[in-house]
Amino acid sequence: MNSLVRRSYFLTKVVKNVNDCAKRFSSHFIYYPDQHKPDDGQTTKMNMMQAINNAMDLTLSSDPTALLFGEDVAFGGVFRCALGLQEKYGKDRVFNTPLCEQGIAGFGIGLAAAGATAIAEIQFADYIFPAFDQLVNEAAKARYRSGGQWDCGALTVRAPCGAVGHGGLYHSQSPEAFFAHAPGLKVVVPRGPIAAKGLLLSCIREPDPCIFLEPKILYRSATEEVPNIDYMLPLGKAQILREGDALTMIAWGTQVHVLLEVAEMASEKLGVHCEVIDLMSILPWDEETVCNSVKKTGRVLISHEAPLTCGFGAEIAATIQEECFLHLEAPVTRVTGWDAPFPHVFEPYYLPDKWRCYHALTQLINY
Amino acid sequence: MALKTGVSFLKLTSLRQTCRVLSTHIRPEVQQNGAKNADFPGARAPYTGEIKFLDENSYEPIPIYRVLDNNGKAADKSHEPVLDREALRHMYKTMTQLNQMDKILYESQRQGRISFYMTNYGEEGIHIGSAAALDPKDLVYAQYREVGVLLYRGMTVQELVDQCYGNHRDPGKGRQMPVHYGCKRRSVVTISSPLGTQMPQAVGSAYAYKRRAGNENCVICYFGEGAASEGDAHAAFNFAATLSCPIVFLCRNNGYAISTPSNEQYRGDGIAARGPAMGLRTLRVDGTDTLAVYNAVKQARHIAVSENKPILVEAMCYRVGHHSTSDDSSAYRSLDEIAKWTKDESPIQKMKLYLEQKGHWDDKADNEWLKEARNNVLLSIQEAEKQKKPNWREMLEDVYYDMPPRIHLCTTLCLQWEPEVIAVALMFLAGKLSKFEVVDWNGRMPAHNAWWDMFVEDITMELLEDICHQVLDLYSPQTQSSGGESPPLPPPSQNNRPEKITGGTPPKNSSPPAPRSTTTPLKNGTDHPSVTEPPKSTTLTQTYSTSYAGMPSYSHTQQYSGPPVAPLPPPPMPPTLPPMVFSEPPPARFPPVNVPPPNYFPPPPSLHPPRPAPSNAAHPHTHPLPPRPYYPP
Repeated sequence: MNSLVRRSYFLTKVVKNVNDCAKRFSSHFIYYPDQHKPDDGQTTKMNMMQAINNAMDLTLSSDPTALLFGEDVAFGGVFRCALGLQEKYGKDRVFNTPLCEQGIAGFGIGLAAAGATAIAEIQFADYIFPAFDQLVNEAAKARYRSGGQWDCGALTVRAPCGAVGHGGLYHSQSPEAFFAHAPGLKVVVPRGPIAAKGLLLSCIREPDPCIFLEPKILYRSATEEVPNIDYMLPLGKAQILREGDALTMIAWGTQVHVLLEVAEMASEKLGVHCEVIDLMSILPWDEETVCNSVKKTGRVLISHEAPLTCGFGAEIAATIQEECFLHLEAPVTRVTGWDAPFPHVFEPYYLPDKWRCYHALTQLINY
Repeated sequence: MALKTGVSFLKLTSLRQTCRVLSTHIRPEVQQNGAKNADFPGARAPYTGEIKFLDENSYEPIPIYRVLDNNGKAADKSHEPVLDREALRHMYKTMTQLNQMDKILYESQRQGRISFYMTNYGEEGIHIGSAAALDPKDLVYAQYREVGVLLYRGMTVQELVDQCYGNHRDPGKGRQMPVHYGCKRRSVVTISSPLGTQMPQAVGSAYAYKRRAGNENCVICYFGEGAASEGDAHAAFNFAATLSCPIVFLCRNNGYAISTPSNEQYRGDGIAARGPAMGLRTLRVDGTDTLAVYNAVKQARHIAVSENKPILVEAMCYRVGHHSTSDDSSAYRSLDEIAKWTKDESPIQKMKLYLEQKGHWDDKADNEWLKEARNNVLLSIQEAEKQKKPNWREMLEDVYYDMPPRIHLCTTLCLQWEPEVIAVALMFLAGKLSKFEVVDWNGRMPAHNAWWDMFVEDITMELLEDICHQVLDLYSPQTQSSGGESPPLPPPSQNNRPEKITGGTPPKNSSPPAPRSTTTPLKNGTDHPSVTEPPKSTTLTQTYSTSYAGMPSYSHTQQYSGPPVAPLPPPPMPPTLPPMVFSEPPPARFPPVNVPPPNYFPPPPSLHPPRPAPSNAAHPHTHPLPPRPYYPP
């Protein structure tokens, strides 16, 4: 009896320990599922990994030239996004490549140039830089330099990005701003399963090469009722997720959920209504939606995980001050990661979490 | 006691098992069959008891396959390719045509007629030998020194020269530097400047070819020994081997990467030595021997197509010319060194001797052909200089399939007209929209027929209406037809509206009816659709020796620095066009940017059923928003 008590005591202690650990490593945001569905038909509960898997499944089944490849893709990929696809479509359509990002990107460009639909997976966006030359100098310029004779529009490069709680320097970066500087590319970041499926299908069918950056923390933590049908969401269009009149908040990927929570805090504590915009498409980006919103509210907060200097928020801020200067009530504010590499144990301090965003919001409101 | 021992043994065993299960250290189960052969996942090889490091001297150098000796004689008759008289003559004529083009275009750069050029001296054999061995449908990924392949595929000198001049007939629309050719119709992927990037791309295309039903084609990828140092080269070899792609890698090892000699570029037995190490079937061939290259590529192609296997061919040669017009190779190599390769190892000379021995060619034919080849180039240059530049709008086309608003809005009008003209047009539009007409105004002079004559002279009503329509097109939502909410303007002269000007031959009536005043420049920069550049008055002095010296005469650079001399004498028209020259229609124009592609947005209705009635006010994006102006007043 005594030993049983002691055992249960230990068990409680262990569970508590595990729970504490889980709390410590839990995500820095609350996930807000999409209220709106692009289709009224049948849906399935999916997390973002399954939604991406589903989008690729639909592509492979409807497009016989479509190919999916990358490091460790054959067994499903390290994030399991390609799970079961090799068994379904064969080893010549879903396959491993050697461990070489520039090779994967170049191979994809060649496939697309020869008429195939190429879906390339880079294991982590942090490792996309060896492929930078292929993507920026080759993929982005293929149509332009040949006067429209050749292009690689059927290429889509998928890469997991963003903070994940324990990724450190090389499993946490958000490189969207690097690629936003390359005219000819399209850069897209989804915020959840419904958006991911629609945007990925758009990217795959887009006649321009696309870089699809998937916030890796959402793979399993984001769950929504995703429509079963094949649907596309337009690229270059932002979505207003929450309407308001006091402040416009702009983000993409995981950070959208941080801002949604901040907007809720603001409405509870301050009684102000904030407009939250998910940019979705970084290049080209939806100036119209953003500028119209800013003209309505007069205050802007832009937030992204990537470092401040030359982050994509800088481009948005510059455009806003140019187009909406006389409508602004306060300076355009950016809440972003610090100008430092992404740290491991300091991740909670590095991220632009809800408290930092809320602080910036109060300053903006009281400016 | 025995029981106790047994129990403790069992305990120990289970402990060991637990340790093994818990251990994260995974030991491969090596089957050491008789301790002779290992069976590691990464290598199956015999064991040895000896430490022996391998280096480049551990193997014999890879031999160089050749058919012709320096006198153009085939040592082994059985290796002479089965090519008829016309085919051989065509090969030789393409080589010499290439040579003549190089000489004249090199000099034309020196005269400032084109901005840049790269010659192909000493590598003609590789180009023509490989091109002749390929199927015309085999996809070519070239580096930048393979223009002979394009010539052999039927690209005319005129097309090549047009690209170098960047005139409106250049399919690349003058966007790239000279020598960046490309032709989809002839399966030649447009060349880009970064080195080695074409290699993994070629592998990707080969994989796509392999998957085509009944595929009978392969991909050939040209690169230099310098480019083989790029990471992309390694990636390409590795991908091609692991993914079994039908591709022929053809390395032109010409000894120099700009100024860096190959002994500072790599160690080991050249590029060919890397082939077997990476699982590629490999052959080394004499690149100055056109027939050897032909045989090698013919067989390589056969293996690639029939077995879906990658092949590496290293063609040894010597870069006789400078790297480019921006390089002077006398700074890093001696003239004696060059002379050796131009005299004894000239691919053109070897081919000529071979043809003469076969009785297919003689000096008379040679002189006549060289004259004709030279005239081809000179006439092409004359013609290219007469051509207009591409339309300025081409600067921003082809970045994306559809021109995004960010490019579109700021450029379509404002690059085209002076700000005053746009201002007048917008005030005119405002007047029209508010049904307000300016009849009289302060400062009116008798000469002023309309109010805008105060600001800019010579603006016609047609021009103003044209600009107004462009403005309305820009600001109206794309889904709407542009005439939907048009103001009650008089019907515009549609045929005068500037349509997208084709890069090929812009229709004459596509220009807006802007009266061109000599006093008031209405337009920014150049008039559209195109600018005519008057042909320069300097003549192309024809000082080239008819016999192939194989190298550019470096002293020529001084020759053209003088003032312009006599106008270009019209060279005699060649009586008949050479066999590989054929005319082709001007390149087709892609559809106008505002028209969405047929298979693109909006998606089929089945995919996007009509959206539900708004139910949640917190998510306004669910409602189809009414189209609103971009920047509300």
